[in-house]
Amino acid sequence: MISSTSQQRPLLQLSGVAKNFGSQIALHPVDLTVDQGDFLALLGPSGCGKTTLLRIIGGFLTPDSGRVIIDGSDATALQPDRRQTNMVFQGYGLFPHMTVRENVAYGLRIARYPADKCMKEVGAMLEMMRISAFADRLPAALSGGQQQRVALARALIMKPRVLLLDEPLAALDLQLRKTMQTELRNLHREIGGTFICVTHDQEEAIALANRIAVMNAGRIVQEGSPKDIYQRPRDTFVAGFIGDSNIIALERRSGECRLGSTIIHSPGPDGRVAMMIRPSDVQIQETRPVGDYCLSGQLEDAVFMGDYTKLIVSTETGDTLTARTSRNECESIANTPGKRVYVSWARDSCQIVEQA
Amino acid sequence: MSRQRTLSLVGAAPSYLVWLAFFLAPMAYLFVVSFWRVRQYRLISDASFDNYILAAGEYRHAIIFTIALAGLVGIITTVFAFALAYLIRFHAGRYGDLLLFAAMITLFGGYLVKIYAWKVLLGSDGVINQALLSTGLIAQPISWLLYSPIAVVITLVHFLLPYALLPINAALRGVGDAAVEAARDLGARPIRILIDVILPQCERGVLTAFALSFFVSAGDYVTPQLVGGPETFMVGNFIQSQFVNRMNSPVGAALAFVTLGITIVVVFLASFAYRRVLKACAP
Amino acid sequence: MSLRASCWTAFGILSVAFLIAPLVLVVAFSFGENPHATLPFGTPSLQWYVKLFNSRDFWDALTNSAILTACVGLLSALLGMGAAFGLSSLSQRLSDMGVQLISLPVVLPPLVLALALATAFSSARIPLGLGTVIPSHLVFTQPFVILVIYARLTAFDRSLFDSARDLGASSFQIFRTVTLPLIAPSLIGATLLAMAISLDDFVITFFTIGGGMTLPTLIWGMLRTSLDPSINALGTLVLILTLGLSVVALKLTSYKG
Repeated sequence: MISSTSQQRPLLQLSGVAKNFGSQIALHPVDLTVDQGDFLALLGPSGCGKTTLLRIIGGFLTPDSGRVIIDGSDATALQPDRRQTNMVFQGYGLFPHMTVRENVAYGLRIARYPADKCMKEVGAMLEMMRISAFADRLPAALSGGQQQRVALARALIMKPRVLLLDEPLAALDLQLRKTMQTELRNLHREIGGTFICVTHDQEEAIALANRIAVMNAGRIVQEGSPKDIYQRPRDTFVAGFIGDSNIIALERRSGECRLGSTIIHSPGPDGRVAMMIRPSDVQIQETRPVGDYCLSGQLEDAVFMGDYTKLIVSTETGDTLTARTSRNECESIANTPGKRVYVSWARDSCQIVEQA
Repeated sequence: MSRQRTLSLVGAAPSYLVWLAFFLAPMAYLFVVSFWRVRQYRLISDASFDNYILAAGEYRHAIIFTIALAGLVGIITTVFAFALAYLIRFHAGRYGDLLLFAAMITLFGGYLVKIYAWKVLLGSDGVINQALLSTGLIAQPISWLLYSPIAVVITLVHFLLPYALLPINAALRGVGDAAVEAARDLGARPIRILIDVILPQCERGVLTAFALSFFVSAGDYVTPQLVGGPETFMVGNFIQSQFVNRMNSPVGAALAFVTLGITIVVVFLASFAYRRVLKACAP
Repeated sequence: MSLRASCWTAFGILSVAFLIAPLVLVVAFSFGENPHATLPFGTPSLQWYVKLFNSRDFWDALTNSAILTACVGLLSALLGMGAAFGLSSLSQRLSDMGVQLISLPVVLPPLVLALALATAFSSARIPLGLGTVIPSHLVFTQPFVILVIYARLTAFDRSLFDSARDLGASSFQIFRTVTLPLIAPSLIGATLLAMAISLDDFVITFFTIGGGMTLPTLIWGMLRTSLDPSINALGTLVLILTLGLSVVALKLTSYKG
């Protein structure tokens, strides 16, 4: 469909885009670049401004300042119907009184496509989204997943340069969500288009997107590939939002942070920072290990989580660390709460991050 | 049946008994009476269609005029109410609730006072003419504002607007924002969105509003009598005069049921036409 | 503001003005010296109210209206509650039908109903008076009470009843301590609504009251006879009463559209 030869110019550029609602600042001036073929997830808690940003990209809100540049031309003042974007809305927004076929065909009919061309394209799109079987049903007769596919078909048939998705999987139950995540990802790969989705679910963001922009309180806090963000979070907010993590507050002085008897080198100004380590990187042993970073502590609780066991340890420094072990490891330890244990981790498993 | 259920149904009985004795029975009796005759101020039971023939014949013009006027009032009121509800739903923001309240505040009171108010406002030396004269827009007071069909239409629309606003407002609330925004996103201009997305979902509310306005207007006699003047004699006036002045209930009854029948048919036609017309305007 | 937005604002303001201005003018005229309902109002004066209060007819009408409204209100409440509870225990289809049936008197033109009642009373040789007016009003006021209470009942959280029962309360206790307090605002609101409707009714009252007078029939009488300026005062009073009642009622039933 859309050729994926890399272009010099990014497909979507936001510069200095800000939005206030009365006295409330929804977005501080935000810069964002999206390349052709990206699947970007705007990730953050409710109220962080991600939906506002999405709606500005789609043309449903006008920013108070800044510009929205799509494919090289300034689209800031353009209405949604004149932009090269299409949106899949939260709740899907299907026309309840029209059949699936009529819903999908709507945009083309508005654009005055000749009837036979329209029918062909609609037929093809219905096939691609595998909803041909319900073409003549009303939305109310469809399940949530089916409705979503109709919404996608309706938007994609317009061949938008950017497809926007507002919390696309929020209304679905867990199993269906996992299935639809895979479907969306495959769809993106098949079409080769550019998708931007908004979500508050970090697992979903990691599963769907190749680029994630983490947002908090109207700002983009960090942007990058899922792996980057997971392994090198910029601050405690991102660290806490993506994946499970242990976050321990520390003082940095003269490029060093002291945690119990452990000294972690960290170049940077003096002040309050935090150490972040993933539970899966924390080892628990009954005897003091050699080398690496290590703390002694007491096992508070062991929770069986199915695929893994969560071990909660209170350390000599007064902090609480969570470790994740597979089922079979550490069984002896897991069965005896109150036991004296040692937690340790490799030097490069942990990170010093700024306080948010 | 459980004791609970029996008790509940017993509780509902008095209400339905009143309904039976003071609504259904009298209406049925009136229907029967419409086939009777009157001689020397006494009702004689009969079984003739004479009254109906009279109604369809002599009163034909009055009936047609009434239906036409009521239809006009119905359409104006429905369109006006829809525009107001549309404003409240999509363009009023936080003033929406306030606007609704202000519009509804006159709902349940002052039927006669409202008619009187327009009688006073529309007269040759009423406030409207005074204002127009003083600004120099006209040289002579406009005499046809009062005691004319126009006065009846204005008064009825004014009275019925809040009643029509109720069902239409409820219907518009049921139209989701997402569908409207999706239509916009797909390239539809506001009028298109109205025809394709909003109106189809408001069918029941709009038709209810129209039926209400149409029915009430067709049966009203107070308004034409007070502000309609000698040109505007609607069926209601004839029914009332047959009944009160001529003491002729059978003819009055026949007239009433004929009008009722025709109004029901018109409302059916309207609901039939609604969907057809919208589909015909599809892109 | 864009041109579009200004047009909408203008439309909104003009609509509200259209709806309210006539009534505001009547109220204004009632307080002005000018005996004709024209501008200028003249100096503020209560003379029309004084004239009204000196009229024997006014007090007769007021008394009748008061009695009528109170009785209709009370009876509507009792009957309406009974019907609403009865209907809520039926299946969806039956209760929908029941509600539609009981609401029929409201959708019919009042003249037809008035005729039917007058003819029936006359043939049955029942003398006309407040006694015939009250049940005549009931048929078109009780639907409002029924609709409001029924809607409230169907919106009830079943778990309230279940937990009360679980804690040992009997049906009557549940009714007294759980149901009644929760529907009280709606019930009061609906009753006030019924009273406003009854108070304002003209057509049906006119045909079923015989010789007596209520406030609306008094207005009608004044309209037919002279150009008595105290009609503005009477009108204002009726407006305050009926609109006041219905505004309170709407707030209580938290009507949101």
